[in-house]
Amino acid sequence: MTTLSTDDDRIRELLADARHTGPIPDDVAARLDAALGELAGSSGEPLPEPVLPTPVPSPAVPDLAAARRRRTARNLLIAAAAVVVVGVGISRLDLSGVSSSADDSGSSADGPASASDAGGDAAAGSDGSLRKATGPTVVLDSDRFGHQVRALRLREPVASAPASGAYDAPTDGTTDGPADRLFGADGERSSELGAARASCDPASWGPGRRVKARYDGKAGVLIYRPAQGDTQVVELYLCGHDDPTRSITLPRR
Amino acid sequence: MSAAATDPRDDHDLLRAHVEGDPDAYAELVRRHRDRLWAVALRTMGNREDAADGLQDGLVAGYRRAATFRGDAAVSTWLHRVVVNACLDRLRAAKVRRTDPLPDDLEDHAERGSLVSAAPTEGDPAEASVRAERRTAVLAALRRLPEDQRAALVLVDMEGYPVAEAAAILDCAVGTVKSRCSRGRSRLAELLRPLLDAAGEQAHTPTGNPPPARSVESPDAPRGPPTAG
Repeated sequence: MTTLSTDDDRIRELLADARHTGPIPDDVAARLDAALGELAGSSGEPLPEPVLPTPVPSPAVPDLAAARRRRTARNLLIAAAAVVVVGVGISRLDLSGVSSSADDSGSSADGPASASDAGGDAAAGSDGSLRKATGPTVVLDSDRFGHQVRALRLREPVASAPASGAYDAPTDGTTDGPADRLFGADGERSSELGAARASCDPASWGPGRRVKARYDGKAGVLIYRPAQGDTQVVELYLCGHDDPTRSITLPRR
Repeated sequence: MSAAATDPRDDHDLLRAHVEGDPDAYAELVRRHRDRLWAVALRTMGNREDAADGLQDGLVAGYRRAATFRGDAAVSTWLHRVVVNACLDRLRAAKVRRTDPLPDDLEDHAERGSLVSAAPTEGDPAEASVRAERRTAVLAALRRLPEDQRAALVLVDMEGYPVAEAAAILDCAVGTVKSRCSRGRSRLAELLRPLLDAAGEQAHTPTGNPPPARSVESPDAPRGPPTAG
């Protein structure tokens, strides 16, 4: 017999000798009877579906599908809100550019300085760079016209008005044409602008690249004439006028 | 066990009656098996209080889950299973806070005088003390085993269940029970090495005091007292 088997047998003997052979203690038996009696007294009917022993308090099993649905709905809601915010922001930016022009228009009697202040962050700084409203309309001041036009030419591309045709004449009554952006998408209801719109016909102002402009608060079009030799003429037409309000000759680029 | 004698129904009948709503059937069933269930719980848990809790947990679980009994095993095996599972659950849950108290069932035995296998040494307090110390050491070593090995050894080596029935109680394969028992015994042999060695020495040592050695006779004549003159 090897030592291992001897040890094994000896361990078996020791375990068998350590076996508990006494009856269940009275107090344990009484406690057990009480627990089972309580169970029997609480039911007294055929047992319901079995439940797990010693139930451990645990959080309710989460409904993963419902959680996923809630998450998807929340994400969609956030995305929709983001779209709305961006859309409103863009429209506000458009409107702000125009409304600042409108403000400029309303306060044009105060002079260029006032108009420049009203332009806010849509205006250029004191370095005389182009004051351009957000969107296709550029804002010009009478006292810095030459500087702004030069800067505008350097900062191409800039939004251009149609090369021909009445860009401000939405004859179908819609308000989404260039002239509407020029005059404000919400429509500036003043009779002055209405008259200007009716008479703002770039086609009659000759050839050239057109840029919608607001000059000292007044709507107009800046026309970069085709270069002639070493020079290029830029003219500003205000709506309702047949003759250019401002004109400047720039060296050809 | 008078109740068992008065109730002619067997275990299956009692369990079926319990499922059908007999309020006394389950208690009767428990009374028939609770002593052995208690022994298993006590040895598995290692102390009296936890054993009482584990036994109650298991029997309450059995009360509620009786309808799931499929009848493919003995009812006693099923009862052992729910009790052992409850004990193992408790052991695992209490692992971090468990201490190793000394087995306190020895006092129970002392009070009851129920060491049935102690008959040869009854009346010999010295031998009873040695045996109690040995049991204490064995139970302490048993508690140091992993729960699965401990449960297997309690069922097979302590309670004497056949390996197949122990496997049914533990809800595992027969080979698994054998493996757990083998590893558990090896570990116990390491833990109880001094005890095993002492037992081996004792087995090879003749009992009783050796006879006193005879005095060696001197070849010379004993010296007499010095003579005068």
